[in-house]
Amino acid sequence: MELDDLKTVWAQYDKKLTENLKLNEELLKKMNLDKSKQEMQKPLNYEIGTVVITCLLFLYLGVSTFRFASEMKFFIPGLVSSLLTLMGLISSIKKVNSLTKIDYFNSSVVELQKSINIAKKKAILFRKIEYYVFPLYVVSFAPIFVKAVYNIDIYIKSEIYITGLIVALVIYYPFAIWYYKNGYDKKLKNTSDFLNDLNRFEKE
Amino acid sequence: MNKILKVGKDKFISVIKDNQNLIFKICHSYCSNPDNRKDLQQEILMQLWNSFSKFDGRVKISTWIYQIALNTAISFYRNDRKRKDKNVTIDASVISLSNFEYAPEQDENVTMLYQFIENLNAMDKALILLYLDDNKYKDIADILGISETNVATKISRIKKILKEKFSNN
Repeated sequence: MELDDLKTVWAQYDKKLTENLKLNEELLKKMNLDKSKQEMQKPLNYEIGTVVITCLLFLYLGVSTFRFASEMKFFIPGLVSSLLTLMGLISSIKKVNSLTKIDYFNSSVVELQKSINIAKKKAILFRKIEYYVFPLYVVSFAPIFVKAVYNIDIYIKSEIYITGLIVALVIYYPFAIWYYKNGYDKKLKNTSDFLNDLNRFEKE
Repeated sequence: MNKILKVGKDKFISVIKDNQNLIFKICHSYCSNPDNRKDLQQEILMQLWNSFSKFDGRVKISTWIYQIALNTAISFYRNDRKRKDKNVTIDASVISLSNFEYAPEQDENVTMLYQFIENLNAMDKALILLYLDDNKYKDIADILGISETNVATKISRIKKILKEKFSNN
C-alpha cells in the first residue's frame, strides 16, 4: 500500500472520528483554564523572584564590600561573593529572557523546540558551574555576610571556620560530582542529541 | 469582564469542538499510554487556551492548533517519564470516543499506521501527521519551520519506508 492510499484510510478514519468523538464540555470547564494559566506562569514567576532576591543580595554584598574595603580579609571575600552573585543574577535574567521568549503560537515547531532545548542545555550547564562554585561561594560569602549582619569577625573562630569548610568540601564535592553525573549528564546528552536531530531535520 | 471571559470561553469550546479530531490524533500519535494521553490532552488544551487571546486570524485556526498542539506534544513526549509526578487536574479524558463500538484498534490499516507513526522520531511524527491530514507542503513547511523542498524530500523518504513496511505485512 502506498502512502497516498493510506491518506484515504486516514481520511475515512477522520470521518469516523467526527461521528464518534465527544467533547466533554463540562469537563473542559472544570479544568479551570484560568488557574492553569497561573500554573503555567509559575516557572517564570519563580525566576523573576530569583532575579529580585539575587539583585537585592548583590546590592547588599556590594555595599558591604565597599564598607569594609579597608580590611582585606573582608574586602576580598566580599568581592568574590559579589562577583559570584552577579554571575547568578545574569544567569537568572537570561532564564527569564528565555522563558518569556517561548511562544507556542508565533514560532514554528523547529524554532520553538530549538529555543526550548538551547535554554535547557544552558540551564543544565550552568547548574554544573553552580555546583562546583558553591563551596567557594560559601567560603567567600560567610565572612562578609556575618560581619555585615552581626558585626562578628568570623576569622576569630578560625578553627571552627576552617574545620567546617574542610568537612563541607570533603563531603560536598564527591556528592556534587555524583549528583551531576547521575542527574544531569544524561539530561544534557538527551538535550544535545535532540538539538542535533533538529538541526539535521532542518537541513536535510 | 466576566461576560467577555465567558464569551471567550464559549468561543474557545466551539473551536475545540470543531477541531477535536486533530487533537485526538496528535495525542494518539505521541502517547501510547492512555493515562499519559489524557495528561497530554489537558496540556494541549491549556496551551491552546493560553494562546487563544493572541489568535488574530492571520493563519487558519487549524494551523494555529497544529502548531501549538505539536509543540506541546513534542515537549511532552520528550519529558514523558517525568509525567508521573505531575498533578493532573481531572481524571477523565476531555475528548473521548462516545461510541465504544468503534476504536482505532479495530481498523487494521489505521492500527498499522499508528504503529508506524509510533516508531518515528518526534519531528517525523509531526511531518507525517500533517501530511496524512492533507495539509499542503507550504503549510507543513510553515508549521514545522523547514523549506518546502525539505518537506517533499522527507515525505518521499517516509513513503519508501512505509511501502516496504506495508508490503512486508
